[in-house]
Amino acid sequence: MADNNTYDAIVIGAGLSGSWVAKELCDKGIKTLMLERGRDVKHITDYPTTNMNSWEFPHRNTLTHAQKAENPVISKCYAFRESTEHFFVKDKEHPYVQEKPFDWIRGYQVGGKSIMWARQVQRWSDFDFEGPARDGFAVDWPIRYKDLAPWYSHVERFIGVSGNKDGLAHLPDGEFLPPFGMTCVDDYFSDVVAKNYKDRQVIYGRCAHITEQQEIHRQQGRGQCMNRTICERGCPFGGYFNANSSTIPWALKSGNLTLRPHSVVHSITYKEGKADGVLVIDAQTKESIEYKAKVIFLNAATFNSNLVLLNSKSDRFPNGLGNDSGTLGKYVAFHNYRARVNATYNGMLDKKTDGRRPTSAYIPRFRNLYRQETDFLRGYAAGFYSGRGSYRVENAHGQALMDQLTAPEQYGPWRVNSHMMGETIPKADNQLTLHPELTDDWGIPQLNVNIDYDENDEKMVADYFEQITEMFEKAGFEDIRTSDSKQAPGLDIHEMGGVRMGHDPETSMLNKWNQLHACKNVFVTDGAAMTSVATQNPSLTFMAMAARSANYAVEQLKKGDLS
Amino acid sequence: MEYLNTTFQKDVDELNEEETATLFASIEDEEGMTENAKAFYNDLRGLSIWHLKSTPEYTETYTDYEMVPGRFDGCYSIS
Repeated sequence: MADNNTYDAIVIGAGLSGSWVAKELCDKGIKTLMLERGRDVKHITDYPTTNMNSWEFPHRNTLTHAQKAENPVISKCYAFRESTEHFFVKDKEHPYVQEKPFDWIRGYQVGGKSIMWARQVQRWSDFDFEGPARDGFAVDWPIRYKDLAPWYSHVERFIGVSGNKDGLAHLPDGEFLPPFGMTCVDDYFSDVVAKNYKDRQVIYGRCAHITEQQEIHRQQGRGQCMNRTICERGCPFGGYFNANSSTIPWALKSGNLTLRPHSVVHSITYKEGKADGVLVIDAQTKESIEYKAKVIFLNAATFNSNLVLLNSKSDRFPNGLGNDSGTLGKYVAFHNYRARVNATYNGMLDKKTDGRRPTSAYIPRFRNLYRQETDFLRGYAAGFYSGRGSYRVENAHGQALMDQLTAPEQYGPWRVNSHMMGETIPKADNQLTLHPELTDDWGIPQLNVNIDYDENDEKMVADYFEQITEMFEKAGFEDIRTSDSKQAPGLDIHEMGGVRMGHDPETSMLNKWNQLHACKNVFVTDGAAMTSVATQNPSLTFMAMAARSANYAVEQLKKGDLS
Repeated sequence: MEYLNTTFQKDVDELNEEETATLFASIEDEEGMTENAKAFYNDLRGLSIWHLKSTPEYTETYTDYEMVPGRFDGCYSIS
C-alpha cells in the first residue's frame, strides 16, 4: 500500500533554486514533494497589480507612513512598494534577532524572491572559484568553473538570458539572447574607459529576460519581454524568469511534482544513519506532519537553510544536522552595497532614450584580479546607469502654474550613477545561531544574526569612490558626488554561506556535489552553500549548482547509492 | 486670518483664483511663517501637484508614459 507521505525526494523551498531542483528531478521521473512555507502564487492569476497604472493605487504606488512604521526592515527594500507589498513578509509575522544590525529581506510564497529579483545574471570564473585558495581566506572551493560551465549553459538556455558576448576571462560569456541595447552615454563611457584603462570594461548588463523567444520558451508558455520594467509585480508575458512562470509549471506538467504550500519545515529527521524525512508544521493549522523521502534538498534560502539544519538535532548531530565540523552557521558573508557615485553629463544633449529597458550597464570586477594590487583583498563590480530625465518648472501659482504644468517638457543633462557590489570575506564570527529562548509562531527558534562589515569593506568603499570618480572625470562627467549609505548588511539581498562547500569535512559542511559530508542524502543548493561570495549577482550560480546537484542525486538514486 | 483681513478683507473661500494665487505666493515669501507651517504648505502643494500629474488625463495628454513600450532605443534623436 502506497504511503501518501512518502516520496523519492523532498525539496524544501519553492523559490528560485528549489524550483530548479524540482524541475530536474521531475524531468528524470523522480517523485518529488516540494514544500513551501508561504501561499501558492500562480503565474498571471496571482499577480494582482501587474496591469495597474499608478493612479489605480490608493497611494499612487508609494508606501504609507503606517506601512513603514509597521515594517521597519522590509520597507527599506528598494522593491517593496504598494504594488509589490503582498510578495514580501510582514516584519511582525517573522521576527528575528539582530545581534548586530542586519536587514533580512524575505518573500515567503511559491516562487519566493524569484518574483521580485533584479534579474541580473553573471557567471563566476576561476578568478572567483580560486579566490579563497589564492588569496588565503575561507577554504578552497571543491569545484571549478569547468564543473559548472555546462550547467550555466543548461540554465541560461531554459530561463532566457539577454547578453552581449564580451570575451572576458573574468566574466565568461553565456548562452545569450540579443541585448536590449546600450544608451549613447553607456557606449561613450565604455569607450573612454577602454581608451584609458587596459584592464577595465563597461559592458551590457546581462539579465534574465526573453528578448527573442526560443522554442524552449514557447514550450514554457513564456513570451518576449515588453519593456514595462514593473517586473517585481510578476509578468503576464513571462518575459523574465521567475519560478512561477517557468520551472514550477514545467515540473507540475511532468506529473511527478506534489507542491505543498503553507508548509513550514521544522527540521530534517535523522534515523539509522541517514536523513529519512522532514517534519512539517502546517502554517495555517499548526498541525505536525512527517514526510519521508530517500533524498532531501534544502533550498529554503541562505538563512533559513542554516536555520533548518541548526534545528535538526539528534544524538548523532547534537549541534545541527551534518555539523561535525562546527562550521554550520559560520562564515556567512554578503555583498557590500553601501557606496554610490552620481554625476551629470552635459554632452550628447541632442539625444535621449526612448522606451525602457529592464537592465543597465555593468562594470566587471577589475581590482586584484591578476595580482594583489591594493591594501584590501578581492574587489567590487559596479552597476552603471545613464538616463535623461524630463522636467518642467513648477514654481508658479494659480493659472500660471497650470500653464507651467501643461507646457512641453524640457530635458535636463544626462544623469549617470554607479553602485558598488563588493565582495566581503567570510569569517567564523559572522554567524547565525538559534536564539535560546525566542520562538516564532510555529514554535521554531528565532534566528540570531551576528554579521558585520570589517576593515576590508571600509577600504574597498574608499577605493571604489576614488576609482569611479577618476573614471567619471576622464569622461567629463560633472558634479560628481559619492555617498556611503552606511546601511546595515542585508539590503544587498545576497547573504550567503553558513553551510559551505569544501574538500575537508573538518572545515566545511558540503562536498563538491553539495551533499552534506556527514549525511550523503541531504543536499544544500541555495546561497547557504557558498564558500565565498565573489562580486557577481549570485542567483545564476545557485540555479546552476542546483541543476548540477539534482542530476547527480538522480544518478546516485538510480544506482541505489544514497542510503 | 489677520493677513486675510488686512490684504483682502474677505474669508479664504471668498477669494477668486487670482487672489488665491497671490495668497499662496505670499505664504511662501512670508518670513513670519513657522517651520511647521512651511513644511505643511510645501507638502500640501507637492501632493496637490502630484495628484494632478498622476491622473490618467494628465499622464496621457502631457507625458509620453506608456505602460507597454515594447522597445528601447538608447540613442534617440530629439528633433
